[in-house]
Amino acid sequence: MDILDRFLSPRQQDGRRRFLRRTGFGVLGWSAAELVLLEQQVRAAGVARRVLVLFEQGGVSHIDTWDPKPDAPTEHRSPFKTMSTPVDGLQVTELLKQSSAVTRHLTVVRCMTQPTPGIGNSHPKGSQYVLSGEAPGGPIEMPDIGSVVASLQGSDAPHLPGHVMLPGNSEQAGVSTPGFLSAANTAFRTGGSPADPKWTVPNLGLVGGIGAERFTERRKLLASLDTGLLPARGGKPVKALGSLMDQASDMLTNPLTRKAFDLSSESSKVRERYGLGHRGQCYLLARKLIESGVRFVTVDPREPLNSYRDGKPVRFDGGGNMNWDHHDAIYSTSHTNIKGGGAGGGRWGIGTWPMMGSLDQAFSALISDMSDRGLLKDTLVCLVTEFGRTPKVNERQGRDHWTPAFTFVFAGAGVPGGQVVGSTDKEGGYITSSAAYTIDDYAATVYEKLGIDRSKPLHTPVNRPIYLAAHGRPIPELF
Amino acid sequence: MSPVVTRAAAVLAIGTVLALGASARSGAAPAVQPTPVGFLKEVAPLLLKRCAGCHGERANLGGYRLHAFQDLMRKGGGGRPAVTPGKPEASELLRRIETRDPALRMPKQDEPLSVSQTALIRRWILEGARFDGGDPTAPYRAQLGPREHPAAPLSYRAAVPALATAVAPDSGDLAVSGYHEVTVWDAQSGLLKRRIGRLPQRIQSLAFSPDGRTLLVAGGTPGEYGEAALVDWSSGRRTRVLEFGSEILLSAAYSPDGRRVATGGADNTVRVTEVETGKRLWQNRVHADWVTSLGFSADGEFVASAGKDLTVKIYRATDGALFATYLGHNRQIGQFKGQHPVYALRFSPEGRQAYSAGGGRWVQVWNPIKTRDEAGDAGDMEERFAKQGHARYIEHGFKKDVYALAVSRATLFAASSGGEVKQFNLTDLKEVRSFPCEPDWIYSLTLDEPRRRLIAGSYTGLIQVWDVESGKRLSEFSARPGANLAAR
Amino acid sequence: MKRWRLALLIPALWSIPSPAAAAPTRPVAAPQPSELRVVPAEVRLTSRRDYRQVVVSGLFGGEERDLTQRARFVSSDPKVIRVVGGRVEPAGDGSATLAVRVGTLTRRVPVRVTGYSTPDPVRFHFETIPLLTRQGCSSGSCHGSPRGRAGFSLSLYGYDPEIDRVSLTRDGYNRRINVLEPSESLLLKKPLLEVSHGGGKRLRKSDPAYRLLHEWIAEGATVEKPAVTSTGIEIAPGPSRVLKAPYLTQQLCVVARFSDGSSRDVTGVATFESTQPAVAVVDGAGLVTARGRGQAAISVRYLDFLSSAHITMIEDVPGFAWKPEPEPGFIDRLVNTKLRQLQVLPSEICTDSEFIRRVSLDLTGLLPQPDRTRRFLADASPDKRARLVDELLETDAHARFWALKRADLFRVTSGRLPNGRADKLSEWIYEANRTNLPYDRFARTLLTASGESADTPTAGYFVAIPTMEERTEMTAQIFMGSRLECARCHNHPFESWTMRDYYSLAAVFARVQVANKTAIRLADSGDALLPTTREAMKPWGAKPSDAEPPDRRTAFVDWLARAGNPVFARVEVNRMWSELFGRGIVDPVDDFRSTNPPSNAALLDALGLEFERSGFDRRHMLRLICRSRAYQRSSITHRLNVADESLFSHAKVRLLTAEQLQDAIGLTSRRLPPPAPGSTSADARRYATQRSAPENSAFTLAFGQPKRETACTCERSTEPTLLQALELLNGGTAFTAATLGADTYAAMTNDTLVRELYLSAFCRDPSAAELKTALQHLSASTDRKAAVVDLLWSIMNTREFLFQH
Repeated sequence: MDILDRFLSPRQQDGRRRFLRRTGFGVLGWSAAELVLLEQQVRAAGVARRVLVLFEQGGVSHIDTWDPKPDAPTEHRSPFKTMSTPVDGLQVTELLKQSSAVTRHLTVVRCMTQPTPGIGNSHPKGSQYVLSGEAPGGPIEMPDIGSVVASLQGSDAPHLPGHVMLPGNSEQAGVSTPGFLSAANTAFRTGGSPADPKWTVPNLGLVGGIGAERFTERRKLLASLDTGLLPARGGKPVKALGSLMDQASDMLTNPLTRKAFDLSSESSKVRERYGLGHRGQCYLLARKLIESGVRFVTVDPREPLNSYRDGKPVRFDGGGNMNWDHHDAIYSTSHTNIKGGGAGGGRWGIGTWPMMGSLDQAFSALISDMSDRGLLKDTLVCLVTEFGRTPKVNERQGRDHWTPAFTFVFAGAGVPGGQVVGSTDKEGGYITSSAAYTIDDYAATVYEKLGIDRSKPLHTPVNRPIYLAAHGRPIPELF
Repeated sequence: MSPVVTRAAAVLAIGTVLALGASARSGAAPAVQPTPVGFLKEVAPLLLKRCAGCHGERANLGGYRLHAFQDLMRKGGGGRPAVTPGKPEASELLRRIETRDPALRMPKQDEPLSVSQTALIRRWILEGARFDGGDPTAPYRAQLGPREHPAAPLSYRAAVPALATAVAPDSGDLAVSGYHEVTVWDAQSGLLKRRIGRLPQRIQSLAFSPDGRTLLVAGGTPGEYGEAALVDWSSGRRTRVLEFGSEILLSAAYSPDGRRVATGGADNTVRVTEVETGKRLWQNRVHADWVTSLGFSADGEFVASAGKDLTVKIYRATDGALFATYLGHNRQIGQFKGQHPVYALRFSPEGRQAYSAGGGRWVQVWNPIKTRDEAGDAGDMEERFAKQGHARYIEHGFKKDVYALAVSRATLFAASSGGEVKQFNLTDLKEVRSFPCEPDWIYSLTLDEPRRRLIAGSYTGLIQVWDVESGKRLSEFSARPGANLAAR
Repeated sequence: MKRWRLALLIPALWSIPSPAAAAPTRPVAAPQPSELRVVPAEVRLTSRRDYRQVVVSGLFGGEERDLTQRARFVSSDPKVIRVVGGRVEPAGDGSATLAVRVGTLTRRVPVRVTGYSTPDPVRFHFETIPLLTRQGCSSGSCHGSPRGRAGFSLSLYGYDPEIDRVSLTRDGYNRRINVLEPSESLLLKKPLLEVSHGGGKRLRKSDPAYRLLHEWIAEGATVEKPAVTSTGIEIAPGPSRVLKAPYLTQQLCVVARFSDGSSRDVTGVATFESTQPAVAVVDGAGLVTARGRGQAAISVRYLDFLSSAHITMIEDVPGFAWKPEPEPGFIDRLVNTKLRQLQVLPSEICTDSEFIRRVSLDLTGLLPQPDRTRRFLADASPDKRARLVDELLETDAHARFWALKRADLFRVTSGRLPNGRADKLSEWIYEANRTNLPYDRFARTLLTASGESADTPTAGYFVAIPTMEERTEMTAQIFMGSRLECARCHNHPFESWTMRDYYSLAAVFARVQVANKTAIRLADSGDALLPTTREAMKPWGAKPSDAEPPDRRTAFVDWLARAGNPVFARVEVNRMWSELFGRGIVDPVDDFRSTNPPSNAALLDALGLEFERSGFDRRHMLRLICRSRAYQRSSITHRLNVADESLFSHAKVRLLTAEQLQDAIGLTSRRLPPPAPGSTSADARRYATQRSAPENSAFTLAFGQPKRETACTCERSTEPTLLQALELLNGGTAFTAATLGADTYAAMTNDTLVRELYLSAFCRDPSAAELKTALQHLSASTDRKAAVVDLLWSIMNTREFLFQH
């Protein structure tokens, strides 16, 4: 242990010792160049160990939720009442009634903006932007933030994947990508709906009626026969496959894996608290996975047409694609399929249960539950979307895409609670605060919180240096 | 935060006396100094120059930041604060600059601090590490006060670029940006008439107050200092510093009534100050890159700022609320597509017409209100980009970027970094003429309406003067004091 | 930082940390050299700022060692020249002599100085720009990145001086340069860290680079259009050097040549980098210091030119003694020469079981049939391995399996080549393999094909690559072993490939047009324009005097596939070698460049020559390689070769490829009948290794089967993943095979069952212990079918099964 170790987290110390061993510098002392190298690794440690991203895809109307505009002209005003919260200076609409009770845990960033041309109108590009933290269309396809994090920091729970997408069946989930990283870092998507009592995660069960016992017997037989090629002989790949086999066996048979995905192990009180519907159970499952040690969880909880409410099957007629893309009839009390409508059909009005109703309940339950369990200490929770919606209501009674201003909400991992950052004008159209943050800044925040050194590039297979969130800076108010 | 510091400082101040006594006894330090070390004057500049590059606003290697007083007292990555008041031995900062171990010594891989510098810091810590500034959380760069500038060199070894030009309303004398000075010339003869010295190193912007009595000078030192100051034209004295900061200012403009001044520059921020009181009325940092050019609309309602970030931002002049963003320089599709930084912005002398240009093939002509309306209504942004909207486009035909514009009621002048200057008719947007010109970058363009002259300043320091009516070149000369001395 | 990155990039060169490197310049009473050599033999300095680095070598028993650091230099006239550390600097016009002394030996070098008092301003193009590269400013991760950094943008490694001129002097309102007070220039204050700089400390006032930049600014930061161009660089003392204690340093000297015939020492402005800092490090003055046993390339960059000095550091390894062994051909001789030099002891020859499994998988993709294995093992004749190689090379399976590898690179998919065209091209490649079409003719036929790809399958090569740029890059990657894509937008960061080269190569394909998405036609016009100047480039291979040929591709192929082309034959033999050893002599196989040197250059040269001499006979080369002892080495390592990954001292253990594994499971479970001799395409399609089109099932994708989207062998990933483990333990492929295969095996007696299974899976008999375990398992079970299934499953999940070894 020398002076430098004092600057390093245990993990970094480990890395440094490996480095020393590998290079033999431990014996020989340090040259200036190596010290510089190390010095650059020495950074203020991150405070997040895990990240939970709630990606509400489609472009949530900020005006109807986190950034109410009671003084907007009547014809464009949100019909939902503005209400105060326990936090000074933070008002939300009544659609967030339950969430207002947890605002002391939240930082609401109202000055998010997305100035990148060519992204504005596009959900796939916007979604990829949010997932990867960089505007798509560059020379290199960027990996999801979660894939980067999983590849750099691995998992605290080897029996679980490092990056899980829950359930990942919105129409935009396909833009999730490991980019130039190896396919091993692909987000593990569960699919389905956790609210379905019959729901299980495919590929996590053993195939074809091989029971756990027989599988264990097989593994024993394999172990006794697997002597022809000793790991010592084949070097790295042989050892690596061996340990991956162990990890895979663990995933297949470890009761903890199943438990992490097993919602029935939660008390009915907890399950009800989140809401016995699709969104609520997705949020709950996300909390379970975080608790089980998954490094990065992305929730992409688009409500299915045939879903559950209060534990009973329900069909949201007309809801073929219930994301937040409310071009038409945003204030409908049921579906938004109107005559002469455009791209806004297939949703339900923003004030309905499958939309803000379930979100408000699930989000408030998630935050208070995570707080109760102490998970907020080291988990960064981010409520994000691609963009906001226009301050003006269009002729189809909808709101269209709006990139100049929208809202993200953060909690946990040292994010100050009870804080509002930034402001928009009285219609919610433009940012009036001196601060304005982009999705790149959001990505930089996530990396910085996790203690990932963005000054050190990743490299593509042809060795092009790639900096993480290169165009972003961490949002200072979140630190 | 600050109460904690204050209390700690108070407690340690007592310790300081003891410590001073102790060192006096041991003879390790000189006798008690009559004047304590001034932090902002003596210590802060040292920290800024030698430490803050790695431990400052941009980087906090090792978990230390030394650019603001509060951060000095924070525990860094090593678990101890950089400075422990009264206790030099317990101060990581001192330990690191004094050690002989090359692996630990700071500044890393650089010349060490001199003995006297180290002693200064030691003494300051010993004296209780007192802060003599205002806000302990603010970077002290901002608290150092406006700089006193050195005198300009008697003669210039080489020309400096003529980044800014302005014509005195009454005399017609030409003010040109110099090095630590403004030089004043007879535009006809090219004779140097006056030198107004002790000004910022680079002068990026010159503007006369509407009454012609005051010259607004903005500039600074790239990368470290920016300033906007008022100079009394008759005496040539800097009468007031309106703004100063840590990056060079690139543009400054008077409101039409002369009561307010807007400034902007490489800190991406626009600020508006009241001239009479020097009070900051508002500031807004919405550009993602340098503010290159700004101005007030003729009715005084709006301030607009052009940015390297491909946008022009329009603010309400009264409170700085962002009114609209003009995105015409950043179009993905359509006839007028292209993504270009904006370097020049002018409002028409009457009304609210705005002209902006930079990269790309056009000078764009637009209106703040209509810009806002268009931005507010359309849902489909891509389609909106494809539509031309209300903006009009003057195809300038330059091969290079436009850095300077000048506007009169019916005419627009534009100059390019290819060393081209052209005149356009604002009614039909057609080119009227191209002026004969030396081919290097033109940074500034001034229209002297009363005398019907157009004046351009270029990279080589060359000043070129044309007659607006005939297009003839009236004169050209190098705005380089030394050259004229030598010529005579 | 950069060096580490390069080191990661090039795993080719290995190193062993060595205690001897701890004190590289430890003074040791050195023996007297028999002869002294000094480069250059004479020095001419033409200006006040000119200088020349002298390199001194001594001959020790035929081996040259660097003595520059040990020599004494004496100037005959200090008014004419001064000498510091072997660097000759002018002091005034005139002639003088430099005396170089080591021990009792002396060499005299005549020096002439002219133009001392003539002004010699710093030349922007030849000094300022390379300096910015050397200080790291214009690297891809700093201001050389496409959008620059912090608003300051330079061309990558100075490929475009005009961009740099504007950036440095005009852009940003001239903020970076201060001619009146040069030391006030941001260009200096930032890297000095006098002003906060994201790139950190990059310059010290004591650096020669600081003085030069300061001088350039003080002189007015002028950019004169140069009257000459730089035509290349030379590194003294030569392309490769061996360092051995006590001579652990090597001074390099870099001289640039110019179009007017002049030359100048540019050691002070060139950029030096070591690919393997664990083997050798290099400082800014070109002084290399060895640190550990192994091979390293010291890359030297000056403007567009990149060249490498290859450093081999050797030292005596305790306990190393070479065991003489037969060296039947040049391959073994050259492999062993390198092993002896670096004191690596090769492994023993592998067993017959290992050999038949290895060579069958390598040549045909398939496990051998149990009967053939039995015959081979029983055969006692000494040439049985050679005969097996010959036999396998003649099989249809071989032609098909190697066609699959080729089709991967050509991106043969039905998406790109619809309605059976993909199959036709695959079939053509197979036919070329089957008839052993000489490789030069193979390349020529493909690269000059025109017409409808349904009728002329070879036209499919270009149909599958729709754009000029992709054709340029893929053709370079496949046939020239070069990754050219970087040079599309800027000069290649790691190689001498320039944009001019790129567009000159692109010009070859500029008139190749795809009609109806399926046919290749030649257009009458079309050019490749250099993006910076819009100049139409001359097609690669064409002589300047040539008139426009009817097909530009012909001249290119004439250049490419001629004997004596340094790349064509070597790239292909290296590919073959890599397929057989799991690693190229140059590795990756499509990344030939001076900074990625072959691990055994003599071997690669000899193989290339042999390939040319044989008339580009691929089967001949495969035969030669497979018959070599180097190929037949065991994968069992020992202390004296365990660290070696690149010198072929032992076999490399490799995971079977996706297709090999799928077929191995099918064959071992006996669900796939072995291919009949002369099987038709239809028969062959049952095997993943014999199919022309990739299956891309969950199983094969998990095991890295390429989607054929690029021409890079790197598309086939070989790193074991969790997905693979899950697929093996719990996937449908292994599960189904084991379940269905159990029927065949269950019918046998237990003893036969186990022996047959081992023969299928491992080409060997079970050991007594293995037999006992397996028999116990079978007899202990009440459910025989289940017991057999479990045994099959277990065998197919052993590492001996999953890996080739």
